[in-house]
Amino acid sequence: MASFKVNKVTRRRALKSLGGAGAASLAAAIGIPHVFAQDKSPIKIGVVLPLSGAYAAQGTAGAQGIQLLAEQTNAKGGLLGRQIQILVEDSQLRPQTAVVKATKLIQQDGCKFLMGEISGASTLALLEVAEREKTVMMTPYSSPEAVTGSRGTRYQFRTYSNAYIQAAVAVDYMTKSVGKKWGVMAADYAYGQDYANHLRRLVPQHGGTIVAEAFPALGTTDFVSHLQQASTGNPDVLWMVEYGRDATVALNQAVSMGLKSRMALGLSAANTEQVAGMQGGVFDGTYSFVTWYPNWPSPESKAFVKAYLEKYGAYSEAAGVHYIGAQVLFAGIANANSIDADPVIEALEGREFDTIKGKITLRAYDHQAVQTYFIGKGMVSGEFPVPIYEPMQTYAADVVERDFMPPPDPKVHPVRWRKG
Amino acid sequence: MNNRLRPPLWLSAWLMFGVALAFAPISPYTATLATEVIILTLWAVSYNLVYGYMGEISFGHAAFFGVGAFGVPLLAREFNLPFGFNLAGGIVVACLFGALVSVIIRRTRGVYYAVLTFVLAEVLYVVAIKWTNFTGGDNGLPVSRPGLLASPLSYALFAFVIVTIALVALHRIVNSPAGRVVQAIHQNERRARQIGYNTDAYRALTFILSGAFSGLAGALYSPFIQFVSPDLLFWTFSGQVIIMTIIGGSGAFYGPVLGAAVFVILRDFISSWSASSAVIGGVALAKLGEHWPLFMGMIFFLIIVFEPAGIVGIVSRFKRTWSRSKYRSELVG
Repeated sequence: MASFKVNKVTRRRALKSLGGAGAASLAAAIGIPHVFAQDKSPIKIGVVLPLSGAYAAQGTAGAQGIQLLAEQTNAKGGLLGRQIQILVEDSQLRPQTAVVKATKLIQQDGCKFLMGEISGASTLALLEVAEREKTVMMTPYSSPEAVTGSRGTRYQFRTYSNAYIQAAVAVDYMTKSVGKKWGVMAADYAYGQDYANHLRRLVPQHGGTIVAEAFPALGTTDFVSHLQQASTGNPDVLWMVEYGRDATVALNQAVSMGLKSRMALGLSAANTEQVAGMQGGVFDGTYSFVTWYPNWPSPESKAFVKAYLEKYGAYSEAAGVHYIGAQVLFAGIANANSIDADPVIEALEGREFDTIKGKITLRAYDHQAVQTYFIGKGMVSGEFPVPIYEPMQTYAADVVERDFMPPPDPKVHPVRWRKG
Repeated sequence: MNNRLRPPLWLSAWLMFGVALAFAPISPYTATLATEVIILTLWAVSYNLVYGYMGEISFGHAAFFGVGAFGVPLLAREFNLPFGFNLAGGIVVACLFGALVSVIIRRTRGVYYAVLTFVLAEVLYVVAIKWTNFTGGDNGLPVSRPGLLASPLSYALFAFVIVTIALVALHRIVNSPAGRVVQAIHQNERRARQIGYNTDAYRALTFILSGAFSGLAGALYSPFIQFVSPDLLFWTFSGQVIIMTIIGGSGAFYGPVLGAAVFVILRDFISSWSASSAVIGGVALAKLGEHWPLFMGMIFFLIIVFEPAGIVGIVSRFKRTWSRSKYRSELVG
C-alpha cells in the first residue's frame, strides 16, 4: 500500500513538471511568433448526427450540408485565415453514444465547436457536454423547447424552430384559413407531448376545439387505429405531430384510409426525407409548418439548392437547415475574430445573421433563433422532383417574435445560465 | 503461497488493466472508452449470474441498469443527498425492483422467464417515457458528478475501484456454497429440490443479487454519461448485455469481462467508419459504418455457429491444444 502511495505522488509530481514544461513551451509559442502559432492549423468543428438508425437519411444529409458550407468557405480562404475541418461522428440515435462521441471530438480530436443533433434527447444530452467542456454548440435541427428553455446553457444556440413556435404558427393559420375543429395525433414522447399541450391551450384561444386525440408510440408501424381515434367527430383538421419515418407511415395510412377527402391533413414539421417519393395523390394538399424548404424563394437559397444538387444529387431540407446553422456559427466565429468560447458567445448572442433564408437573430436571453417561417401546402410540381410545400402564408421574423414565441421569462433559466 | 489466497488469473489481468489505466499516458477519450468497458463489464458479469450460473435468460436486465441509472439524479433531486448515497440508493432501488420482479416470476422457467422479465422491463420503460414530470420522459435528465471526479481519468479510476470490489464480491458469491447450489439448480433443479434446497429462494436470491449489481453498474453509468434517458430501459439495451455475455462466453466468470471489452471496442471501431471518407473495393467505408449493427450481427452469428462458448471457448481450445502439444513433447523428450 505504502509503495503505491509513493508511486502516485511521484507520478503527480512528474505530471506537474511535464505540465509546467508544456505550459512554458506553449507560452513561448504564443509569446513570440504569435501569428504563426495560430495561423496554420485548421479550425475543427465536431458534428454529432445519427448516421445510422431511423433518422440516418436526415443525419447524413445534415452532415453533407455542413460539409458543403465548409468547402465553400475554405475555397474562399477559410475563416480567420484558417481552413475549416468538419469531423462527423455517428450518434447511432442514442443519447449515450452521442455523449461519448462528442467527448471524443472535443477531447481527442480537438474540436472547438460542436453541432448536432436531430433527436431531442441526444441534443439535450449533448448540451451537457458542451457546458462541461465549455464548448460552443450550435443546434440546427432539434425541436424540444428545453434546449433553449429549462435546460439551456450559455454555450447552446439553436437556429431551428421549437415545438411552441411550430404549434403557434400552425394553429394561427389553420384555424383562420382551414377549420376550427381539430383532431390531433401526436407521437408519444417529449416532443409530441409538449406540442399537444400547446395545442390544447392554443386551439381554444383561436376559437377552435380539439375533438379527438391519439398518442401512438414512437416507431409505430400501424397507425390505423390511432388515426381512427384522432379522426372521430369529423374534425376539419387532422394534425399529425410526427417526424421522419413515423410521419411517412402516418401520412400514407391516413390517405389510404380516405381521410384526406374528409379533412385537411397536416404534419407538424416539413422534411424532404420523410416525404421523398410520395405520389401526388398522397402528398398534394397536405399542410406543414416550414422552417426552410428547397423551394425557399431567395436567390441565396436557390444557389445553395443548386450547389447541393450538383454535389450530392438530391434536394434536402435536412441539409439546408444544417447549412443555415453552420452559416450562423461561422459568421459568429468570423465576427468574434477568435475561436475561444467566450468571444464567440458574445458574437452570437443577440446578433443578426445573414443566411440563405434571410435574417436570423439569436435572442440574447435564450439563444433561440428569431426567423421567418411559412405554412405550406403540399404539391408535386414539375419544377422539383421532390414533393414540395407551396407557401400559403409567410410569418415574418418580427411577427413571429411578437406573437408566436413565448416572451422572455427570467424564471425559465436556472442558476447555471450566465454562470461563466 | 496458499492456493486459496492466490488471486485468480482474470483478477491479476484485470488489476494490470487498472494499473495501465492509472499510469499509462492515455488520452481522455481512451479513458472514456475504458470507463464504458469497466461499467459494462460489471453489468455483463452480474447478468451472467442469471444467464450462465442459474441458466435462465432474463430479457429485461436493462430495467435494473436503468433503475440504477435513474436512481442517481432522482435521489439527488428529491433528497439532495451526497453523491455516494445516490450511488448506494441506486443499488437499493434496483434491489427492491428485483425483489418485486422475483415475486412475480418465481414459478416461471425457460421461455416464460424470458418473456416475463421482458414484459416487466417494458412496463418500466413505458412508465419512464410517460411520467414526464418525474423522469423527464424522452428528454431525459442531466446527471451531475462531484468535482473531484470531473475528469475522464479520475472517473475511470473511481469506476475501476468500485467495479473491482464488486467483481471480487461476485466471484466470492459464485464460489460460495450458495453459489454452488445455484449451479446445481442449473444442472438439475428437481434433484436440487429433492436434496432439500429451497430452489425458489435460491433462484430469487440470485435474481435479486444480479439485479443489485446491475443497478450499481447503472448508477455508475449515468454520472459517467452525465445524462440519463428511458432508452437505457429499452429492450434493445437488454439485448446488448445478452450479446456481450454470449460473445465473451457464459461458461467462465471472466467471459463477460472479455465480452464487454470486445463489444465496446468493436462497436466504436466499426461505427467510426461512418465518418470516414475512405473507399474500399468501390464501396464507401462510410456506407458500411452506417450499417455497423450488421457487422456486429455477423460477428455474433459467427460466434453462435462456430464457437457457442464464446471467447472463453476459443481460449480453452487454445489451452487444450497447447497442453496436448506439451504433453506430446514431454513424451518425445
